[in-house]
Amino acid sequence: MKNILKSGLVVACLLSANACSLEPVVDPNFPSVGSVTSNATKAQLNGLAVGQIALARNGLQTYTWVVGTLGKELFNFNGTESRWMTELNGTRPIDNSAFYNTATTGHGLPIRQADILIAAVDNTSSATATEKNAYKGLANTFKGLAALYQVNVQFRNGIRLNVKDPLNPSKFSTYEESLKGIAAFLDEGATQLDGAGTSFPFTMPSGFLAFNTPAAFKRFNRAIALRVAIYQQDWAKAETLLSQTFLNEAGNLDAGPVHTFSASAPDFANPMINTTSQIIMAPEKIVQDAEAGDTRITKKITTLASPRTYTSGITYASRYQSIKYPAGDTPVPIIRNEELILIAAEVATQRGRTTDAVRFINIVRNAAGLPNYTGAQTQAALVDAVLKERLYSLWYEGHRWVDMRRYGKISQIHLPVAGMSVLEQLQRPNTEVNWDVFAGN
Amino acid sequence: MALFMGLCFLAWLPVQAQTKTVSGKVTATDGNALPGVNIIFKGGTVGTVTDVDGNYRLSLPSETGKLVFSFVGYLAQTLDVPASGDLNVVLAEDLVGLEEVVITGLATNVKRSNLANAVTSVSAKELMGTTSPVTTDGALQGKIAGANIQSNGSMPGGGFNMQFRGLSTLGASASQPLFIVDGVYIDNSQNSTGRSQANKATGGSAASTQDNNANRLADLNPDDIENIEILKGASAAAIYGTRANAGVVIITTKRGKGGKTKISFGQDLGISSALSFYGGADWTEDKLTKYFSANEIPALRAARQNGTYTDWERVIFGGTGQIRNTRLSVAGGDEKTKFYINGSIADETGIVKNTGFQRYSFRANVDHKISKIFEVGMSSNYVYSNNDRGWAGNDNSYVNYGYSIPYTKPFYNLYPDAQGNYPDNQAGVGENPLAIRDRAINNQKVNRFIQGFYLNINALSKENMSLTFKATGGLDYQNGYALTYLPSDLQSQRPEANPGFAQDTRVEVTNYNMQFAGVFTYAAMENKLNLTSSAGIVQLGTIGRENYVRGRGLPAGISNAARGRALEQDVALRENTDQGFFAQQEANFDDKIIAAAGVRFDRSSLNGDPSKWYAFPRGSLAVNVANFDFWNKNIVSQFKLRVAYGETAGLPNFGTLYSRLGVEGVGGQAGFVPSTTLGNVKIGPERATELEYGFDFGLFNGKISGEVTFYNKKVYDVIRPLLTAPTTGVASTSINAGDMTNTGMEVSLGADVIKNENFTWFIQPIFWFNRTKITRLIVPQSLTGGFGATFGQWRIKEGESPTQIVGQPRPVAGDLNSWTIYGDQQPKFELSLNQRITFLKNFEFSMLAHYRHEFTVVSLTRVLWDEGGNTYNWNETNESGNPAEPNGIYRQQVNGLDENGKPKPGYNPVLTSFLKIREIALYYRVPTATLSKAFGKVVSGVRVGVSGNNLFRWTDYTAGYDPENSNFGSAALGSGVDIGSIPAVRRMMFHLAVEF
Repeated sequence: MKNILKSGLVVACLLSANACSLEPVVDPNFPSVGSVTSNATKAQLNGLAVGQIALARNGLQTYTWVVGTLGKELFNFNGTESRWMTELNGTRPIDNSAFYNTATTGHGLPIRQADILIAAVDNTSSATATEKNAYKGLANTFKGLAALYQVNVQFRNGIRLNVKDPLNPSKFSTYEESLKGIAAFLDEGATQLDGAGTSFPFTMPSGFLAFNTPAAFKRFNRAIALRVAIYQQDWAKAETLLSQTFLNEAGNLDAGPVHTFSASAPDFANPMINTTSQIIMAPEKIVQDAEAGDTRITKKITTLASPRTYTSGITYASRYQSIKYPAGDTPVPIIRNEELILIAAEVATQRGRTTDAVRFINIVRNAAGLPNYTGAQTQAALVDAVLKERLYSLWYEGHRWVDMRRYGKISQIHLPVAGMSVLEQLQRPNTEVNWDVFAGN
Repeated sequence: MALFMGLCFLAWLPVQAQTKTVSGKVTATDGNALPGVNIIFKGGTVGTVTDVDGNYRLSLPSETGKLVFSFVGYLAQTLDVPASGDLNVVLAEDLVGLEEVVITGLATNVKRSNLANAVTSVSAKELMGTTSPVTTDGALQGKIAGANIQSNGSMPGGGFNMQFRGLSTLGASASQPLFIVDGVYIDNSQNSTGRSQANKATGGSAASTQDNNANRLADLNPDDIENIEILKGASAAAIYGTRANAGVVIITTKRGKGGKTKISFGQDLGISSALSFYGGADWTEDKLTKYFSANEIPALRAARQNGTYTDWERVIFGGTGQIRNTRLSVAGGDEKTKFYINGSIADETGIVKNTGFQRYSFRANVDHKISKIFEVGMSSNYVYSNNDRGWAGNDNSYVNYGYSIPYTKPFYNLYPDAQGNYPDNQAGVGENPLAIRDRAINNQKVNRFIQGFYLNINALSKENMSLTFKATGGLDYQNGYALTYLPSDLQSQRPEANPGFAQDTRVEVTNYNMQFAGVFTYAAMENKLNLTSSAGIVQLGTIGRENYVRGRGLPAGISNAARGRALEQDVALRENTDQGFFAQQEANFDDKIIAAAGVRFDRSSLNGDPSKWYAFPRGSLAVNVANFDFWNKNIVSQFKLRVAYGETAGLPNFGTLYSRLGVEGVGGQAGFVPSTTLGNVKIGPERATELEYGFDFGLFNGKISGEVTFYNKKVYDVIRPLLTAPTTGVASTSINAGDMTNTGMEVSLGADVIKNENFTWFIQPIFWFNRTKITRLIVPQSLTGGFGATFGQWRIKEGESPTQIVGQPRPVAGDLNSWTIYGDQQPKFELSLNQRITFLKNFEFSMLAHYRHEFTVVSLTRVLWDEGGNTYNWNETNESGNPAEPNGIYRQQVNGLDENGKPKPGYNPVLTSFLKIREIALYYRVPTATLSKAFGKVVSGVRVGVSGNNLFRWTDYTAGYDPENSNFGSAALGSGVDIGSIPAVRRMMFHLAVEF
């Protein structure tokens, strides 16, 4: 027994000798979030700002396809995933745990990015007050945009407006409160951009070439705020905002900031292009209902020699295939002059300025190779006219479902297959529901 | 091993006065002579071994006393020294291994009959004696009570998920047991190849569980294995501390035993083929018009007219694989040095063309006695393995043939033209599976060294005490490289922005471990009380490095990823260091009462606090009731009560500590973006405690024996992602979130039903079950695994089993946490039956049947086949019950439970059972007399036989090929998902083994 005691002592000595030698392993693969949250350098802040712009594309594909499918403006003929055609079209129960909930949750990360950027700016001395305003203005603008996408999908479920502490987020606000909160993010961003000097402290990526000063970027910020205002049906505020945006009656209808893509890492290719397994099709009805010679159709949709038939879980055929995003580096517009002109038409309609409304409608129609609007000039008729032009002008940009919903016209959406229906909103994601149960909200 | 140690022991016996000589012959029950049997004079220090003909001669120091005859694999016998004449002995085979030595500590071992735990041992004969499995884990299926070993698929090269006694983690720690080969902690991970990026099964990240790779235990040549010991739970494995939560598998390879040099040659030749097919529904014009597209009618008519109507499933999966295994080993040595060398080639092609597995293994095990004090040894193993895994499983681009065949209609031509150009498949299917089979590459190669060593120092060796220091350790170094390649002109690639895909992956993993221990033994009370004390220190670590280059937009005909137009690359590093120390005290009172207690302390850089020590105590007690004097051994010859308690832990996975800031670029600039996972610097290990108790018995002198075990394994501080509200931008952070219990029962029986010279029949039934329940959960309940609640997911909820599978529809409409329960992934129970029959002296028949009762599978395979219109019974209406609605249409609209509470035949999860004949074989041993007549003394043994692997199967599973498929690889949770699978495979072989 003595021997064992002795060897035990030897062991103990060995161990105490290297007791301090087990050092923590520093992450060999990535920088840490902690490295930017205090005393961030200018380079780090610039990195976060570029990250903010890159992240604005998070969830974009799923969002656009989900709201497009819900609004029956497009179908995703995805041969390896029939839920695009079944669950999202109402032929099977909707699932709040499925992949397509990214349409809501994918916009969480840009919001977190904005909160991290703002916190980093507030906790460093390496930027001037003006520069700080520039970073924050950028952050709040993208935060507002991401939150708006979220509430579009969730609608009456509302969203969480304060998620600065991910482990203690606010409760869900109502739809109206959510829109109000989003407007506040955007307004705060606009104010900050006003105090941001004449240039950004970082190089604006190429998709924002025409918006690369705080003043120009604010026009983009106001354009998003304008979207919020018409969702709120606050036509007076919308009228005020119109002039602060980049609306240009005589300008290129495609003018506006875009998401750019590149297949080379750390960037990625446009995820919305058609491949063998994911093919975006237009419902036959939309193309057939278009006026003859509408160049908006021919620009975005090609007609196949024979119909493409989808047979997984649901059977539907269409001859009309999207050519909107033909290549991996095709940019995706965030908001375009064409949308602003149609919003101007809508605002004019709602404010009773019929002549203005028709004038704006005709700008868009003429550009599409169509004659002037000749329909009735009642408010109801003009609303329908605006909705129709928005369908063709903004096809595959994620508006149809929201537009029909805000005018209570969801039941008018054409259902090409018996058994299909239009959901008014997606269910609140399972993980969001569970969090509230957990947190006792 | 016992023999080897015995020989060592004998070699240093001091010379004593001799007063009597005894001699005789030792034979086995079948009458054959047994060479190498140990004979020791009890209480003294003299002994010998039998010669080649089984004869012995021993000089004894006294006229009377007892002789102990022992031999590996046979029951030892203790006999009185005869007054006069020869002492001939017949040794019975130790069918249940009462005599075998079981490694219980890091430096000590104990005889099975004295063991307090139900440690399963698998001998070389049990492992490889019936048939030749490709991998070691595959060879264990159905042989271990308390183990759920599931094959992930049927591609050559294996891929297995191994869970002992239920669940030990919910995915955030090692899900697979620790494998130790000759003292070396080896790597058993599945290395990613990028295949699931090639077919878009998953996006973005480097590593994916959907690559369907082999786990690296596949590199170990099963023929090298002498013995496997399985420490299933914390009570047996406590001394392994933080590495042992999922169990420990201790593999001992063969070693030289000295004596005449023995050369063994073995050759297997065999074939493999699909066990079943799933498609074959006929196509009519009416079917196309009603349910698909009338536009396809001309194609159907043309195919019927030209006779080109083809069942593509049978073209691709109807092939025959070839099996060619060759082994050559040489073992021998003298009293000082012993060696074992083995060279082997395993070469197997799959049922799908261009799939296969080759393993070239070379091993040299050397033991050398420098002096009475110093012994050294090493085990060296070099392996090169080469695996073509093909394309099965989940897919989002129609690349995998397992996914495209269900949709491929028989009237489209897929065969290449005379110039070798493959025609496009129907546009909606998007890829020609023949083109993928013939032109795409999914290859993984591994170069690997496993090097173990030991140094024993016999510091003190007296009659009643000894002190030994043991230094052991080793290195497992592997360098793997993988190529995944899709040519740019494939149908599925052409519409891509950058057609073509190639990924070149390099994986380098170094595992090392070192241990230094002292063992002190002391015998007291006239050798009736034996005390063994041991203590030591341990350090181990892993350094892993994975690099890849992924190229898209490849020039025609080029598979080099670097030539792509759009490149991605990654370097992923991981490293960790663990340190531990341990002490253990064992006491054995006359083989009647055996008690042990020990403790291990561990710390690891994987924990939030790397300098914090965690303690893992253990204690056990075994009472051999039948060894007490009051016991009458006539009927119950052995009866042991045992109880054991122990604690272990599982470490957090690498990376849990870090809140990462990733890099994403836009417009030619790179920016910082946070990960959706928050790091947790407070994370600690998952800790398990286990209480195991039971009894072992032997009836009629061991003719019937049994082992009955109950256990209660509790896992505390199980790490779960705290699933945060994802709209915060944080999806999860891993925390020590809850506790769970595993309770279960294991029964193993063995019986010599018939035993005489011409006919023996041995049966060994094993029965086991496990129930897991989450007893505490501080994170919200959540669904995990699978592909959404539509098809079924695992629910993590307090009070429920974590392997419970739930899904749509919601029984309570509007309640977003209300789900239909479809059963449990863990079976209600498992049952296996091993049988061995010998007849006509030289024939041996054996069979292993394995039954798994009522477990739930998430199947999407039938969904694919139904959507494609090809399911074998698609056209029938028996399930729909409506003559106007084919099953295939009906099932696409149906989910939930029927009025009897059974899952409906829809797209929902499936409850199923199976019975498989895992192994079956018939062998003939050429009689020694015939051999010596033909070859003289050159050939000492020839055995020929035929065997089969998974030859027959019964199952009520109709939702896919086989209920044993797993798309998500080896995982504690979420592995049983059947999607895009290929048929299960039966293997048939001819064997020849020659000993020189």
